[in-house]
Amino acid sequence: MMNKNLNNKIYKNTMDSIKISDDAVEKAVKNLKQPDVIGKTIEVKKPKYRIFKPIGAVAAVLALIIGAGAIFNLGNMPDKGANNSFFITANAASTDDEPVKITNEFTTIGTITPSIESNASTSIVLSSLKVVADINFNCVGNNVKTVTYKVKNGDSDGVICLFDYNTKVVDYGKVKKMFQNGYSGAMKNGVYGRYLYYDYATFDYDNQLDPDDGAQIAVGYKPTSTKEAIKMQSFLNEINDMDHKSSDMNLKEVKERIKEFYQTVFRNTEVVVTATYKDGSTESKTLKLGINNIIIYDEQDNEITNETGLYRKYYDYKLIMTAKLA
Amino acid sequence: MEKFVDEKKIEEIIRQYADMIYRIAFQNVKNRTDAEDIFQEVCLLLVTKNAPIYDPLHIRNWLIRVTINKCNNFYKSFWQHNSEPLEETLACFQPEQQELLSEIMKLPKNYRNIIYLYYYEGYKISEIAKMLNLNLNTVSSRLCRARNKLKTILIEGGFNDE
Repeated sequence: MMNKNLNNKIYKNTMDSIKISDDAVEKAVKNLKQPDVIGKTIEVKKPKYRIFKPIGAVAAVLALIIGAGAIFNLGNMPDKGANNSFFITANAASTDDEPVKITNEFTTIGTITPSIESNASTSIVLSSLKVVADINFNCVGNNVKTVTYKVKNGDSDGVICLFDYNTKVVDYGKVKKMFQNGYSGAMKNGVYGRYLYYDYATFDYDNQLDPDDGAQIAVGYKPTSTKEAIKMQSFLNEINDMDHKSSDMNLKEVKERIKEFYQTVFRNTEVVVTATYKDGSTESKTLKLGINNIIIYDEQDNEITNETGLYRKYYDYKLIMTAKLA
Repeated sequence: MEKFVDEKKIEEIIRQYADMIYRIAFQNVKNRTDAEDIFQEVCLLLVTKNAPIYDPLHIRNWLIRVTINKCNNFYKSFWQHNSEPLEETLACFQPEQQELLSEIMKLPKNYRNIIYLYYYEGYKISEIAKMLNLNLNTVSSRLCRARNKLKTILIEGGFNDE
């Protein structure tokens, strides 16, 4: 019987066996005491006791208040006096992107690197092509007890996709059929399953996911015609070709095709957010996702490939995503 | 500001984190001798750079970041082409560990670092992203792929049998 703990144990035991020799440690300690090493010393700050200064403390408190206001975006908070209201913020799961309030206009919510889950080698797999976009959603409101997220993608599937560690859902719907292969099997055995694909997921308002947990959405894509499937397949092949950087790639054209690919994948995607208030009433808002632009950039592996003896170079890309209220 | 080297404190840090630095270096350069050289260089930086030696939370992160940077620089060096073959490097390990390590070493370096930091050192994805100066999304994706590859390795290698 295989389980996650066992695998972790095997991995950890193996890593434990990598130990440095005592000689090497003693050598490092000995080197430390060499005069020429000390000669290279630059200023090392020792902690010093500081005299408490009331003016400094007042300034610090003020800075804290201003900082907290900026962090929690107090200007956008719902009116405390108002009853039963909420709005949604979203941001790419990145340390740099601040959550933005979703309005009636398309607003940039961040730059993401989507994951495509497909073998991507035959047109048949297009019927099970899944794209995961790491976007965090958050609900800000008054009297909200729980928040439920549900993804719709037209005739295809969409799911709320959560990291299997640190998940704090209070309620969830079953895994959709399209997402039962592969990952759900891994999840069932509790082994290295990355995602939990929920039909919907409900969180306590006071215990919503933070960016660390990586609340994401996954969208299943189904082509509407054979023609579209062939077209999407060629786009997908082109995206895969970026791994083998070649000088004859027309990046402008590649960019357009990537954009069209994701616009097609996300064209019917909507995230329905339902707030259940403390008095038992509910309110729903629907978000639409969009692609604003594509950024293509150079990447280089740190390892030399056996084939060429050179560092492998390739192109990678990011999507600038937008969202608005439907 | 006084010029000061707290040798005792640095020695304490070296002894405490020696295995961690070596493990990261070994995984990256796949070679005992080079990993030990990197360990020595990192220890030297503890003295010559303004390392946060009095901050227990930050010193660990600092050491990991510096070690990985050193490893990245190592890859740019000509001399790495002359390194010892992996088979010889792994000869000092138990047979089962040799087999697993050999498979782990086949993972791309970026994956090895992320999976090590996540599973062994217990860092959160956001912390790893910050430490390696990567997008959180990139770390998530790499961790996902590394996990799946590692899972396949463990299953196919029969490491899951009790």
